[in-house]
Amino acid sequence: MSGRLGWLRGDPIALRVVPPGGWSAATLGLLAGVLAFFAVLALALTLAAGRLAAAWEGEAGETATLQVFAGEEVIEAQARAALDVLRQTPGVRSVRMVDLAEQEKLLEPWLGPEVPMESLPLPLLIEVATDPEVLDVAALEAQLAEAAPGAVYDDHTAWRLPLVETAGRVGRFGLASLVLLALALGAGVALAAERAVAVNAAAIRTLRLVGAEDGFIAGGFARRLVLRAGAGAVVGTAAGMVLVALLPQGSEPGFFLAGIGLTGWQWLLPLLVPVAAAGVAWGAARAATRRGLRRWS
Amino acid sequence: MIEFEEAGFSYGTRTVLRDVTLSLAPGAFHFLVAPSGAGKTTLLRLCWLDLAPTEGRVRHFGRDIGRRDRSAIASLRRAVGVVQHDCHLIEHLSLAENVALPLSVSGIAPEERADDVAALLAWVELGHRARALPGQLSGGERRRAALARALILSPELVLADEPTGGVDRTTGLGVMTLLLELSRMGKTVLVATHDTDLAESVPGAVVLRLDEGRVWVDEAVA
Repeated sequence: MSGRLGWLRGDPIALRVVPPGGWSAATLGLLAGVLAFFAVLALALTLAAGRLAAAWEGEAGETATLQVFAGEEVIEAQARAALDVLRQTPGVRSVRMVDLAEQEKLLEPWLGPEVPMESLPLPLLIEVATDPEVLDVAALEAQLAEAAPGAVYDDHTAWRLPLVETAGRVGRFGLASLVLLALALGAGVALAAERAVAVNAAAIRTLRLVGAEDGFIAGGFARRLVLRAGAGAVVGTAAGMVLVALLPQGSEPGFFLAGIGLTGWQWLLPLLVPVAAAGVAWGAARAATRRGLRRWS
Repeated sequence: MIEFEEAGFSYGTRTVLRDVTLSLAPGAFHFLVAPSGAGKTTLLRLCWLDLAPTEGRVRHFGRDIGRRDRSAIASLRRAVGVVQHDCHLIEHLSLAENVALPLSVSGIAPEERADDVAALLAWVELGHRARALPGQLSGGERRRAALARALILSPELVLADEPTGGVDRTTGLGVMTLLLELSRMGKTVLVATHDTDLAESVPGAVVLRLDEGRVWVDEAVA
């Protein structure tokens, strides 16, 4: 038997020396399935948090807003002066006046459609595209204060940085969850291995009688447990991927989980979950079986 | 082959074997004769290193194997064929798979030696039961299956613990005939039995008597 999957098949007797097990085997498969399901969700959450953090750190960091508050008689003059300052400032890529209709559209979700916007003391709004690497915000604010005292420059730092930090924490939480899920699987497999050693005492005695080394016996147990855990993890991963696919995507508005899906090549990553589960199960099963066999001799 | 040098064994405070000095003669047929509970199984377990002596030492094939040298112990067990009284067959494996088990353990693909497995099963007259599970076999058939398994790796030494015990006389004689045939093939055989008549019925056999923990060597039966 050649190839890396050879050990899974092994020789047919080596694979079968450990009996398939009944209820405990089903339990391990179920445990691996549930943990794999949550691992896929944690993975999707981690990746989504990374995407959000990158977006907030990137595109959102390259836009700013200038609001001009002033009396009716001077507001247009101040807006023009502010525009002049902006256009002459290095690091300002473009400026655009946001007209009243657009402002109404922005405010409607907050104030409702019935409020007469004309009666509200709305500022003049200028959207500014910037190059944060070049722009000297302090110098710009000083110039604006002189040319247009009613202008307030907002580069969104106040809300953007906490969001980036929150997204980073969510990402770390997702990674920590993956580690905890792997540990939980390892613990479950170790318990199953110890139980398997205990209930298969007769088979172990026979194997030792015919000269089996502990590595061979542990391999037999590990193979069984890996196949059970791996099968459960495949089913759990598939279920998790279906759920992630059904989650509302970023383009669907009005849902706070929007964007927790996977995109493009990221759909390949959940396929690693059963592989990782099998690896964890293999290590935990071998270690626990060897420990059990040592206690036994 | 196997040499006991003033070896003794105690289970806690109960001494079962004391001051045992003996050597198994290569190619000879040996009987270890004693009543039940006298320590025959313990002496056999010392031979295949299932136990280590609590006093003195036992040398296996000229080596003093330490209790912690697990690899050497496993290797020794592959060089010794053991037939225990309760046979120790794996109940969910077929008879052929049980016989082939030492091959798997030794890293030999059983399909490479399928002919040997079939030949051995035929030799112990179980060729027709190759696919049967141990639970479907009689006591005598189990004993013969265990013997076939003990021989699959062609060991130089075969140990059998009460091979005729718990089966009818005809079945017991059938198993003994197989063991004697092994001896004629040049294997060293040690049979533990409580049956004095059986021990005295085999010409040329070396009879070891176990009494109060000590082993006495009788002259070979004429």
